[in-house]
Amino acid sequence: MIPRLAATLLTVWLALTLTFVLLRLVPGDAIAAQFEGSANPQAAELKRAALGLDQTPLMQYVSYWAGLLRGDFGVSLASGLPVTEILAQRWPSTLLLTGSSMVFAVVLGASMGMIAGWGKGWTARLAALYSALALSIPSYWTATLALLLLGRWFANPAYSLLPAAIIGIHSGGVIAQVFGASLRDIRTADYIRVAHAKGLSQRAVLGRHALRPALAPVVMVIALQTGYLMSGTIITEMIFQRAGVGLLLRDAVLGQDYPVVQGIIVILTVLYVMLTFAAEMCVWWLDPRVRDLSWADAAA
Amino acid sequence: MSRQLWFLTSQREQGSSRLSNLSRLWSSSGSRLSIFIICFCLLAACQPSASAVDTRKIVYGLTLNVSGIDPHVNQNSELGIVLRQVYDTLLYRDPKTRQIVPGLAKDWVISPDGLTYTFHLREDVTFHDGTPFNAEAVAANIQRIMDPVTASQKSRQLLGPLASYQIVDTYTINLILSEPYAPLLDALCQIYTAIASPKALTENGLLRYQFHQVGTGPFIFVDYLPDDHITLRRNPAYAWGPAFYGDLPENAVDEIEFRFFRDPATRAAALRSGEAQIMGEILPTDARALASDPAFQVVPVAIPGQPLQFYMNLKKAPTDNLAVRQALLYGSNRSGIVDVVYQGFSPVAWGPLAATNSFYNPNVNNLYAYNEEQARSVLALGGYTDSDNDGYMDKDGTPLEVTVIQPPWGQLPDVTQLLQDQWRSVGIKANIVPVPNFPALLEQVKKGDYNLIAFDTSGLDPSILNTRYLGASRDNWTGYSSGDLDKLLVGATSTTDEAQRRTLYAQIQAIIMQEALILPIRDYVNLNAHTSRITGLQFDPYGWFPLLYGVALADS
Repeated sequence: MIPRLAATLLTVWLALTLTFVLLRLVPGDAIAAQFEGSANPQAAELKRAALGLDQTPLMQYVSYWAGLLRGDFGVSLASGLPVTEILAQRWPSTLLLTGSSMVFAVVLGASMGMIAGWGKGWTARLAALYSALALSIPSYWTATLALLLLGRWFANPAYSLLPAAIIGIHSGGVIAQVFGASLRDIRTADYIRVAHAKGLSQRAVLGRHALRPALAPVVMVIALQTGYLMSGTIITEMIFQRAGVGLLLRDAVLGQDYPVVQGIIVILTVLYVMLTFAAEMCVWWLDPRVRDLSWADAAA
Repeated sequence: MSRQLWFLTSQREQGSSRLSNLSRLWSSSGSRLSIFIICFCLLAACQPSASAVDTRKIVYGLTLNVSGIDPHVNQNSELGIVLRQVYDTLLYRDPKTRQIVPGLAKDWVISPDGLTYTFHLREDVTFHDGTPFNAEAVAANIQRIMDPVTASQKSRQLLGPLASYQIVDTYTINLILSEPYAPLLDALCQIYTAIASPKALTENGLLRYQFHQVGTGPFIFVDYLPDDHITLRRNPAYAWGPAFYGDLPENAVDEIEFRFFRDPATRAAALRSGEAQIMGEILPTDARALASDPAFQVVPVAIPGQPLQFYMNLKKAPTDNLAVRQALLYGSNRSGIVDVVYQGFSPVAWGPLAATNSFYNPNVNNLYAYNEEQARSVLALGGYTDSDNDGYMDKDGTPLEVTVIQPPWGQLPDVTQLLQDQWRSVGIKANIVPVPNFPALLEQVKKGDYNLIAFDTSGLDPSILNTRYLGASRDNWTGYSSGDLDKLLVGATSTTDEAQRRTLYAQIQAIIMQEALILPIRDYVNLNAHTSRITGLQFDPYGWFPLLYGVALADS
C-alpha cells in the first residue's frame, strides 16, 4: 500500500511539474498579446508584476506549489479571476456530459459486447461491426452529421441528449470491443467447458462463471474512458457549444493562461489516479484470481 | 441468439425474487447510487429548452469566446456586439450618415485651442440600477479608464492625451487635453468608453464588474456565463436613445440570449435548425447558400478599418527591396482570391484603409492590379533572373524566397495557399509559417523573421494608421521609417479640421502604397445572417456591432 501511494504521489507531482515546464517552453506572451496595439506598455508591466510573472521561473514554481498546498490555484492571466472560481463554473457541464455519456456507453457497450462475445451468427457479427465502426469513425464527424440531420428536433442541442449519445456511441464501442474480446477468451476456458459439461444452462454459465472475470478488463476501460471524457470532449463541446472543461483547457493552452491549464491538470490528474485506483479495487473484488494472486504475492 | 438478448432485457423486468447471479452482481455494486446518478443525468440532459417561438426572445450567435467583456478593460471586438445594447455612449455615430450625433451628451463645444471639450449632458437618464446619470458618473468612468490599475487594453489609448476633467455643474463636464487630439469625439462614440453606473462599478470591483454590468442602454444585462451565454432583457424605461433609433416597432424583442457558436460549420446549421435567429461571421460558402433561401437574410457589413492585408517587412531580405514588394503586389490575383475564398462577398482592397472609410483615398484604386508580366519585369529590373532554371528567380546566387506568417482567422490559410501558387508562376517562392493564435503571431513579430505577416485592425478614425506606420511605434510591423510620413501622421491627428485631415491622410495612403509597404487583400466584411422573421437589424458604422434596439421578431 505504501509504495502504491508513493507511486501515485510521484505521478501527480510529475504531471504537474511537466505541465508547468512545458507551458513555459511554448513561445508567446499572453500579457503582451492582451495589450497589443494599445500603446500602453506600462499597463502590461504592471500586470505582469501583479501576477508574479516578473519573477524567475524557479521562484514561480516555488510559489505555485506553496499556493497549491494551501488549495490556492492562482488567478487566470486572461481574466484575473481565481482559477477555482472559473473551474467551478465549468465542472458541472463537463460532469453532466461525462456522466450521461458514460450511461449511454456502458449500456450500449455492455449489451453489444455481450452479444459480440457470447452470441453466434449474424447478430454477433453485427455487434462486432458496431464496435469497429464506433472506434474508427471520428466523433466530430458523427457530431456534425447528427447536428445537421437531427438538429432541428433538438431546438437547443446544448442541453439535449444528443452530445451525450454521440460520445456514448463512441465510448460504447471501446467497451464493447474489450468486453467482447474478454468474453470470447473466457468462453473457451476449461472451467467454462466443465460448467457446460455439468449440464448448466447457458444463462447460468454466463451469470455464475463467465461474467465476473470477463468484467474485470471492462471496469478498467470504463475508468479510463471516464477519465478521458473529462478532458477529451473538446471537439464535441465545440460543436455543441457546451461551456465545459475541455474547451476551457483548449483556450487556456492556446492563450497561454498558465494558472488555468495547471488548475485543470491538477484536478484531472487527481481524478484519473482516483478512478484507476477505484477500478483496481473493483477488479480485485470481481475476479477471485486477482485476489488469490495478490495473496500469493504477499505470502511469497 | 435471441435468447441472450432476451436474457439481458428480461433480467431488469423481473422482480427481485428471481435475481440471478448477474443481477445480483449489478445490484450489489452500489447500484442504488449509480441508478440515482443515471436518472439524474438523464433528467438533467432531458430538461426542456426554452422555445424561441412562444416569447419575444431571440438567440444571437456569437463566434468566439473572449477572455473578458469589461468595456473599459478588454479590447476584443466581440464584446461590443453585446454591450452596445447595454450602454449608451456620450456620443453616437449615425449608422446612415456616419456623422457624430448626440448620445448621453446633448451637445458639445470645443475650445478654439482644441484642448477643452465641454459636454452638456442629458438630464433624464437613469442607470439600470436606478441611480441617476450625471457629470459625476461620467467623471467616475473617465477615472476608471485612466487608472493604471484598470490596465485598460483599448479605452485608455482611445482617450489619447486626455489630461483631466472638470465638473462644471451637475450636467456639464469638461474634458481637458494636454495637446490637440482630433480622434477624441470618435473615441467617445465607441463602446469602449461606455458610461457605466458608478455604484455598480464600486460594488462589484474591477474583476467581477464584467459579470454584473449596469448601463443606461436599451437592454439590461441579466447574466453571463463565460463560453455559454449572455442574457439581456429590454429596459422598459429607455427613452433617451439617439434620434436615429426611432420608435419601438411592434413585436420588438424583449429578451436576447447570446450564445457561442465557435465551430464555423455549425453556424449556418444553427440558423436553419431555429436554434439561433441571428448569427455573426457565417462562412462565405454558407452565406451563398443562405442568400438564395427566402427564409433567411444575409447581411454583409463592411468593416471600415484596415482591410485584410499583409504587412511587408523592410528589415528582412528580400522584402527590403522595393522591386520585390511591388512584384508581390503585381503577382497577386486578388479578385481571384475574393471570388474563390470569399464567394464575392468582399471587395478587393487596394490601400491601407477600407474603401468604405470616409478618409479613403480613391487614387489607390487599381494600384498594382494583377499583372504577371509587370511582376516579372519589375523583378528583372531589380536584377532577378532564373539562372539555375528551377522556376524560381534568384539574384547573386540567392533564390527569391519569402516567409509568410499565416494566422488561422479570416480564411487566411486559403488565401496564402492561393498566393503561394500565384507567386510561383512569377518566380517567387513562398514559405508559409502557420501560427495558431495571436500570442504566437506576436512572437513572430518580435523575432522579426518574416517577410509578410497578416493583420488588420478595425476603426473609423484613420488614426488607426498611426500606431502601424509611425517610424518609432512599437507596433510598426513593416519597419518603414521616414520623417516625411511621421510628420504627416502626427499632423493628421493634431488638427481637428476635417478637410485638412482628409488631405493629410490621402497623402499618407499614397505614400504607403508607393512604397508598397502592404499587400492589401480584401476589405473586411462581417457576414451576418438572420431568419426572415427578424426585422430592423442594423449595424453601427464601426461594422462589428449591431444596434438591437429596434429589432423585431415576427410571429412564425
